[in-house]
Amino acid sequence: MVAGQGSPIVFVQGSGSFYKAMLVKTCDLLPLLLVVVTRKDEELTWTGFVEDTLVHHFEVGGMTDGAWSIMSNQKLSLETSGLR
Amino acid sequence: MILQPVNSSKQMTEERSLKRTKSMGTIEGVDLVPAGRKRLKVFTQDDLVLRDMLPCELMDAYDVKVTMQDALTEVSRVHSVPLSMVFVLEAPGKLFTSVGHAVLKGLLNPAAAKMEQMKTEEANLAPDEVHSPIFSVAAKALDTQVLDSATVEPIKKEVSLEPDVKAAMEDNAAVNFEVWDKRSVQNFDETAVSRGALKGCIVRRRVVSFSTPSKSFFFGVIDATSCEAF
Repeated sequence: MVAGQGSPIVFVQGSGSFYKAMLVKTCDLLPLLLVVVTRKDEELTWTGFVEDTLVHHFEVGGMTDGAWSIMSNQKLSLETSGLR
Repeated sequence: MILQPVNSSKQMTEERSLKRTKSMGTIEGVDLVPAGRKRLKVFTQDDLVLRDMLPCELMDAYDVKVTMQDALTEVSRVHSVPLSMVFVLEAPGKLFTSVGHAVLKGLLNPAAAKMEQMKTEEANLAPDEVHSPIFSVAAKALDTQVLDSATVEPIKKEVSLEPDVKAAMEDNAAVNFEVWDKRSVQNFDETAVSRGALKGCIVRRRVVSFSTPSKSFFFGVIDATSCEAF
């Protein structure tokens, strides 16, 4: 959670059950922005996300052949970090 | 990190290299590290020895921070337990870094993000929708060649070519009662009210209002001299 003006920004990484558990815990802190990073083999049936993109690690400058789902309630434009 | 696939200082053929990669779990050249794999084998720089990939190398591949690498190694050494390799099951650090940059870029510069969104929306609009509704109606009328009065009159009403008199007057300027009087009299429909009835209604007061079955009038200034004209 990032402190700042307005609603908090919440990043959630993990499975669907983990995400739902976190949502229950933070029900009184409606997040301005929510990002979920989960494995590509997760069953993604949640609603409320405008962004649901499968991102490969190498697309952002990484070295593995894995891919993860980036889900967000706001539009995100991911860029490579350029680091290796 | 890795290493040309050679055997006894001789470059391996691509076919044999691929076979060994699959059978032994090795990677080479610009290959990516298989996600979720805890043990990988690599060639050393002397081209002779096959070895397991070091945990620190695997941590580098998964973008584990150096401080976190030190902490994990220290825990493993102090407690004499195998190094936790659970990080291979998690999303690598560069994914989070890129997400963080995207979020901060949007939040710290909302104007640029809004402009980008408007450009995207405008690009998705049809050309005639970009302009005002008046021009859209006119464009549609021209497209269909239907310029009947029902189409033209609403456009003429909205697009007035007459100068805006109200806009030319200052807010605090004195009211020109003379123009007001003339305008009121000129707009008065005297056929709706008989002259006799009108004379009966007029009294010697500065302000008088009239009501007829068809419309209501408000006369700003009427005095005795004005009544003589009737």
